Amino acid sequence: MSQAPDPYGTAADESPSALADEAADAQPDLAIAEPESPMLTERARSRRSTAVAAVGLGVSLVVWGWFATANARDGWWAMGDHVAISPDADGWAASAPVTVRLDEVTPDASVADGSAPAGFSYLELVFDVGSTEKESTVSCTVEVLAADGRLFLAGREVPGLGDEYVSELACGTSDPVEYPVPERQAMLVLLPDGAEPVSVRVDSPAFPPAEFIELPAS
Amino acid sequence: MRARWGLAAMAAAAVLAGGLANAADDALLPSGWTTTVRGAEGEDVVVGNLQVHVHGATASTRVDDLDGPLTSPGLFVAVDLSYATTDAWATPEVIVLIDGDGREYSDPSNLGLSGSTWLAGPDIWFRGDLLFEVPADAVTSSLTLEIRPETAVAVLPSTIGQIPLTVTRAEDPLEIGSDTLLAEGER
Repeated sequence: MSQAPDPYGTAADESPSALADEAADAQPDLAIAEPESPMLTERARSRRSTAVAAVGLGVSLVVWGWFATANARDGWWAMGDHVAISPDADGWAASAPVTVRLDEVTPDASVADGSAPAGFSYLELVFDVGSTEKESTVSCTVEVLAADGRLFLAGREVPGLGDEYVSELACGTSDPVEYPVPERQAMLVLLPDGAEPVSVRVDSPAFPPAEFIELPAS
Repeated sequence: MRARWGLAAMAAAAVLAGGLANAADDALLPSGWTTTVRGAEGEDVVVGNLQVHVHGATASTRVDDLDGPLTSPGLFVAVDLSYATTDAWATPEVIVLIDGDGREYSDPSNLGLSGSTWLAGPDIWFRGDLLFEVPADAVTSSLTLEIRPETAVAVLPSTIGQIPLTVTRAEDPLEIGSDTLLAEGER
């Protein structure tokens, strides 16, 4: 079935505006482009300048802040404990020149030399210790981290020091023949009732900056 | 025009940031940007990471030393106090006496007796005496114990504690004992 011709179609298609549209389709860039308004150009340039200035300001402040805080950042990193060394599958953790393993943890330990004050108990820790330090005496401090964040120093206000227990771990010796580092060392920690040990931290000035050893207490 | 305002605002912000940083650096931080906690005798006072309980203070012209009594041209003041920390074992950095005229007195470390600060643990309280030597007129004005728990770092804010003291005069020489660990709940 044929469609009836549009009686106005030919005339409309051949109108001047239709011809102009066709010309525009044929050369779209030339037809659409309008001469840029001086106001619009100025505004776009201003926006671009503002954006560049804002980025420059932000970068400048960040760079300034980075240099201004250099000493504080260095001190904070070097003086604090930020890198925890965890034990391997056998329980050994190493931070040169020391390797250490927490072998036994005994809560509420009974000690022959005395009982803990009311409201306190003794936590007994037994370590296996190895050291490659053969030229100077190195001590390691031991702290117990409780679940609430408190740190309890081992070897303070405890009995049996110098005999069965040590106040600091021997982690290096200047005379490995006469005074070798004991392979097994025990410590007591005074804990208030209610303190829940989470981990045991071993630290020493001989360790690399910011490093400490953290051994699970369970 | 709007862009110029934006640039002007950013320039002003940059100048303001620099000015504030400079003002803080010059005026506040090096001179000790501190928060002061004011307490009283007979109560627990938390100052930074330190918990303090002052029992009282006694003044005398004499103090028992290892080699016998020492006599001061002014007065010895023994402050009886207990303290513990809140976080880890530590010794308070500085504890001084301040008189009503703002003069500060630290412990006489040249004497051969105890009476200096001691190590305490988190919620592990110790009781002892801090010894100071002051001019005789210092006690007539009010004496305050000032506690600075941590090392003053010029670029960090800090907290100090101030506890006014009631000083009792004694004729006998002061006896300065060593610090002792307290059972739970004791002060």
